[in-house]
Amino acid sequence: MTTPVSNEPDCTPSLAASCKEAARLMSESRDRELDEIEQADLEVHWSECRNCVRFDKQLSWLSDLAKNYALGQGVSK
Amino acid sequence: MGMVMTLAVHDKNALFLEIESHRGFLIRYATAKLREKNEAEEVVQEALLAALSGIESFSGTATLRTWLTSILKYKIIDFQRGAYSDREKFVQPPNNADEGSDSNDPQWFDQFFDETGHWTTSFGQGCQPGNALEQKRLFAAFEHCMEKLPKTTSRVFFQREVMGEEVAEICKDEGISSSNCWTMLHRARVALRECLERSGFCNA
Repeated sequence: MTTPVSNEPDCTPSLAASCKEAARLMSESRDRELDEIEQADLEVHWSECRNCVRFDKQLSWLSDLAKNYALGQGVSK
Repeated sequence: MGMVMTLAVHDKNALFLEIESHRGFLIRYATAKLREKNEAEEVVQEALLAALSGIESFSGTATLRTWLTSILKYKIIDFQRGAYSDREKFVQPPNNADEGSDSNDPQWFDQFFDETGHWTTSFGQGCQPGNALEQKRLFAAFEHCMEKLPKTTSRVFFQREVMGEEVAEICKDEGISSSNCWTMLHRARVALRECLERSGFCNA
């Protein structure tokens, strides 16, 4: 899933899922496939909310950090 | 000028067909929200009419489907306001359990969102440490932040993101459901992001 770049100045979701719900979907998309309704909710939310676009990028950053930590600390399965 | 606007100017019939091609999805979407197909079809019809009459406001920054879904959401909200305005609002029962359940977040997690579900925390742009020393500091902060999580949540996150295990495998190890696992992973990610930002990482 690719996160679009939002041109919104801030988070102003007026009708889409709340940030809390959107955050849950963004997180769960890393562990399971979202259905088309959930995906649409998320895309509408992203179009209105820069904070959540950033949050999604930071989830990727966090995931990379965890992988790098595993490599750096010699952690493996 | 985007394809849709080009169609709007040159061929109204083609524009209608382009918008109409999303009707099936929109009905499925509205049915999922309203739980009633007849009502969903009615609301979708209104949304499509609104889209056709307001096509000049479609900027093309989002896809046509996303734009149509936005319009539909307004229509669904209008519909629900009318249909359910007399009903009592659902009140979520308090839950102070350490880990919370799938549907009720524990107190420690509630701090990240206000009562309307919006973020209460600040957002930087994200960053990567520039050198080995910063990398070491980042790893130390990461460990510190993981230690602050509830035990099971921390363990599930570690297995998933650090060890790279599949959710099914983690569920089996921990004896928890998939949805419980997704919820714990979500809470861990939100809390860790916040903790790392407070530690000076992830800032613009």
